[in-house]
Amino acid sequence: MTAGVAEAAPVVDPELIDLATRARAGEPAAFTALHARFAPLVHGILVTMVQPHDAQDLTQEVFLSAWRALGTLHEPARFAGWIATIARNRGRDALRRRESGRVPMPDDVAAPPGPTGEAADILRCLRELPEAYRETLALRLVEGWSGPEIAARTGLTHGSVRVNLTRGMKLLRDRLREAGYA
Amino acid sequence: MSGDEYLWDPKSAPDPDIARIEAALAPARWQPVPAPSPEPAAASAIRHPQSAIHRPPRMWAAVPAAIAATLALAFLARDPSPSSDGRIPASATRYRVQGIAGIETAGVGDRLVVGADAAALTVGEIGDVTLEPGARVRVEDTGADSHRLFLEKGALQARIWAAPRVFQVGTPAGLTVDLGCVYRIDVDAEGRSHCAVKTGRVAFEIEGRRVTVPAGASCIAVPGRGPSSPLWSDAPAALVAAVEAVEFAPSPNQSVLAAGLAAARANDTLTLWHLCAAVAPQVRRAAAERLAALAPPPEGVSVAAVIAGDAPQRAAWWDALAAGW
Repeated sequence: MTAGVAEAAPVVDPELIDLATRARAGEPAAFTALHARFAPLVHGILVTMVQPHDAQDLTQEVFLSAWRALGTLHEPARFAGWIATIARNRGRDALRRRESGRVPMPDDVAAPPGPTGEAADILRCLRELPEAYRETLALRLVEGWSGPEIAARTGLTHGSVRVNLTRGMKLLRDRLREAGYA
Repeated sequence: MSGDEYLWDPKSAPDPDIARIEAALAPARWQPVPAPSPEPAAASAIRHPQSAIHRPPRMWAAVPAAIAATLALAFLARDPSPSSDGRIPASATRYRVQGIAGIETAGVGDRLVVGADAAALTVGEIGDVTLEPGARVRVEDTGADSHRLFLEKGALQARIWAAPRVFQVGTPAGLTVDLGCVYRIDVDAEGRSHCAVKTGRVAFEIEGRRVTVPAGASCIAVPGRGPSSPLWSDAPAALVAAVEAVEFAPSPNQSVLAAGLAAARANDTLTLWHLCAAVAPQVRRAAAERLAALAPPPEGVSVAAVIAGDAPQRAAWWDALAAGW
C-alpha cells in the first residue's frame, strides 16, 4: 500500500512545530521560514498537476491561502500534510478552470513557453502515475531532494519513501519506454 | 534494482537514465522567491518574474453604495464600560468613521449606534467594517496587535486582511475570531447571532467550544450555548433541521438525526466533523460514523477515539478535511 504525503504521520521536528506555532499566532518571520522550507514540497506536488510556470505562481497562492487559514491548523506537527492538501486542492482547481476555459489571460500577455521535447514527455508520463508515486518522484527528480530529505519534510517513513521511489521509477521507466525512450 | 541507491541518495554513484531525467527536468524546479505578503495589495506580487501569465487581483466583497455618500441619523455615546475581560486597553488609536453625522473617529470605549443608513469603520491598517442600519457596536480594543469590536445588536460585514486572530468581534453569544476574510454577523434582539462567511474563515468561540466557519458557510450562536455546527449555504434542509434540533439536545430526536445524516453530502463533512463534539453521545457516534463513510479518517485516527472525545485525533481528522473546504 502506497503512502502519500497527505496520509503521513506528524513530523516530530521541534523546529517545525515552533515555526508553525508562531506562524499560526501571526508571526510573519515564522511564516517566511515555513515558506522557504516547504515551497519545494508544494511546488513538487503542483508540477505533477500543472505546467511548471503555473506551478511557480500557484505555489505562492497556496502559501497565501495557508497564511489565511493557519487558524485551522490544530496540530503544528502536521503542517506538511496540511499544506500538501491545500496544494493538491489548488492544483485540481487550476485544472478544472483550465478545462472549462475560464483561465483569464490579457490579450497582450503571452504565456511563457512550457517544457518541450523530452522534459515534456517525462512530465506527462510522471503525471500518469499514481499520486503517491508521482509526488515522491517529483520531489526527488524535479526538486532534487534526497530520500531522507523527503521523509523528514513530509513525515513519510523511510520505508514508504523508498517504496514510492522504487516502484514509481519502475512505472515511469515503463511509461517512457512506451513513449519511445530507451 | 539498478538506480535504487541513486534514487535514495543523489550523492551516490549516478544511474545514467535517472541522471538524464533529472537534467531534463532541472528547468522545472522551484525557483526560490520571497514568501508572498498576506496584504491584499500584494496579490499581484504573486506573479513569478519569469511568468507572463497575469492573474487578476483578488476581488473582495463590494461595500454597499449607500455608505459612500449618505449621512445617517446616529449618535455616539461615550461609554466608559470596560472591555469584555474587565480591562480597558490603553491604546489611543481611533478608527475612522464614515456615514455618521458629526462623528469622524471612534476609540476604545465608544459605542456607535447606526440609524437609517449604513456606516463604515476603517479598522487601523487591517481592514474595514460596514455597520448595517440599526447596528449598535462598541469599540473594545484598537491596539497594534489586537482589534476588537462588540456587536450588541444588528449586523456588520467585515473585510479584513490582517494576520489571523488580529481582528475579533464579540457578540452576546460568543467571540468571532477573524482568520483573514470577509464575513457578516447579525445579532437579533435576543442576542442570537448568525455569522456568514464570504471569503476566508472565521472561528466562533465561547467557553472552550469553538467552530470554524469557512467561506460559503454560516453558523448560529445562542447566548449561553454558543455556536452551532456550521452549515454550507446550500446544505440539505434535513441536515439543517437536524443540526438545529439535536446538537445541543440531551435526548435528541433519532428520526430527525437519521434523516439529517442520511442527507449529508460529501461536502457536508464540515458539519459532520463539528457534530462529533455534540452534547449527546449518540449524536457524536452517528455523526462520526457518517463522516467516516464519506471521508475515512487518516492514518492514526480512529472513529472510536473521536467519539470518545480524543481531541488530538479529532484535530488530525480536521487537518485532513479542512483544506478541501
